[in-house]
Amino acid sequence: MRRFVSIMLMLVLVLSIAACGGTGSRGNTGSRFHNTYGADWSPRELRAVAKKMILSMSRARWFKRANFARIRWVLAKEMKNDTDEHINTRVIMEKIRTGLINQYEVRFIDDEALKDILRRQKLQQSDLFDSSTVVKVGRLVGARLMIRGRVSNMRRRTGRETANFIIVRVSIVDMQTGDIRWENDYEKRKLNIRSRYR
Amino acid sequence: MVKIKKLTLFSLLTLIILLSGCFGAGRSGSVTYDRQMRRPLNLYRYLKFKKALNAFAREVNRVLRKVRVDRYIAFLDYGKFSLAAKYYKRAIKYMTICERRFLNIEGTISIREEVSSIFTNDTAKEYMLEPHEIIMISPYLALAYAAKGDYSGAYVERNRVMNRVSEYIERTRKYWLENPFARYISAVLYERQEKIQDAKLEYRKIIRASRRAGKFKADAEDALRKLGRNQNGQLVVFVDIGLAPIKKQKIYDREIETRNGIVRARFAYPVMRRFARNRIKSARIIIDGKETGESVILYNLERVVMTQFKKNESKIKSGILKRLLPRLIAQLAGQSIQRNSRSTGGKIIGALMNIGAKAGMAIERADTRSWLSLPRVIHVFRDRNVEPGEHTLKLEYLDANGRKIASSGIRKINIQSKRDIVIQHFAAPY
Repeated sequence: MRRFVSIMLMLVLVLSIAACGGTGSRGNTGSRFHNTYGADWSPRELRAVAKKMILSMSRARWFKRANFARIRWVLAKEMKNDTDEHINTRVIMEKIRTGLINQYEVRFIDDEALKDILRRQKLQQSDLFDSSTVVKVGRLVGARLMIRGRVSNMRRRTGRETANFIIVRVSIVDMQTGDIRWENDYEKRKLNIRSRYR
Repeated sequence: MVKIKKLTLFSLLTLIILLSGCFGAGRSGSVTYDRQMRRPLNLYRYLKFKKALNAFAREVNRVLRKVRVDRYIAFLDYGKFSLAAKYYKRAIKYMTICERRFLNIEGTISIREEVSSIFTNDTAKEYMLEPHEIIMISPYLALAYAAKGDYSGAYVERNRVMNRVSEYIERTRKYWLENPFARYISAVLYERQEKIQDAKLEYRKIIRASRRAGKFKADAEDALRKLGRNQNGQLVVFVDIGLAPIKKQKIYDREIETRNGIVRARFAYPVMRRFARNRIKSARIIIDGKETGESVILYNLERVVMTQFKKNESKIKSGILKRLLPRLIAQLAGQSIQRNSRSTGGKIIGALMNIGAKAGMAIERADTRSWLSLPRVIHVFRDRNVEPGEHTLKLEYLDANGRKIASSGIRKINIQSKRDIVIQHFAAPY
């Protein structure tokens, strides 16, 4: 009888301790940073994209010539977002612009001019992906080079595992000819495994 | 003397834990989620969307602050009410929170909730959305973004829809979950973005699914035929009609005679019932004061809900058995100890075990939670010949005989160019 009572007591204790346990979730990727963003787009990618693109651009042969000739650049309002996440793509573009201005003294036209022209021409941002429109807008804005881009991803969820392959493509388009002068990709595969217990 | 003290202490501890189990999830008394939602849902049903939102805020929110496990399912209903009341930002906010939460907890276990549910019932656990419910979140979010005029947000949601469809239907081959509503929205958004090949693929999948499941084929075929050849602006209207079936509680309560005495077997289980017979059967679309056409059925959600419930039956039964068997055994053991024990302590333990088991049965409750504001069927209407410019849009809701029962308010729509497609959503749950 005493043995039965002590076993029961132990069982009840274990169950009650388990019942009082916390409900926090834990990712197995280690850091708090990963737990916050999981396999999603994060500020780490933002910084990495800007760094890679600025470095790659500055190493291109035409870049020094363009900078020497004081050619004016303009940003497309935002990147095309083909992902399944609501990403503020404008921030990516601005981060690249900030780097170019601060490190290489690149001349940028204020976007308001572009916005104004688009409104007057009854065009949309997405129209800037069409080369003939870019040429037309370039003449009106007075800028020679335009930075535009696209973010896309491929996500696959299997049970508690989420794999996300992010691709960011940034291009520089000559607004007089419609030629793509430079282009580079940033690729990142992110994997997140959620804990079984929450 | 010391022995009796120990036994009394143990029995007291058991009682405390049994009682604490009842409050493990912070659920108060007998209030169930569907009961809390009764008033807001009735207001919603009678097309009083803003009043439903207010009622939700007043009555339900107060309780939900304490009932942690029902919080997210309530947010989902709140999001749906907000969408119907044209509070798009609010709808987006709450539905996004819910989607994130449900995708995060899917396939995970909370030990605390599991233990609480053993002592009490399944409502002590956080509600896990059914696959058909998870698939429905992103299309509604896409509609909310589109109605707000933020089409880049709608395209992102369209991409999420495609992920969900691939994850829950195509990869797992669960074709009863086929969701033409989600596919149709995706196809329209692809078309709007001039991704004709993707749109074509989705329309084809709708037509293929229609062989298995419904009457929505004609519209999709029409859309496929005219894809990319449109000469004018387009208007696509989605109408939620009726309310999806809801779970009701049934109780089995019998006294069983055994060799050791009478034991009580009591358990609660959910059954699916129609919410109410809805009077609205279709909608007449009026653009600029002129009758333009009538909506056609696109998605019969009622059938999917019923099928999904049937598929879940074995899981529900195993959950009931998991709680019922220990309680029956505890009753039998308690009665036996009470009868055979010579000491007072033994008799007390026996009595407490018996009472504890019966108390557990008394608080047994079926898990009747679900996304209550989902529609019974979804209708669609498409006008391919709307001139660019501002127009007014109004819907008249019709009964089975084609008589007008109610009408929506007048909405202003703006077709910006000849290749523009405007998407609108209306709720008619009556």
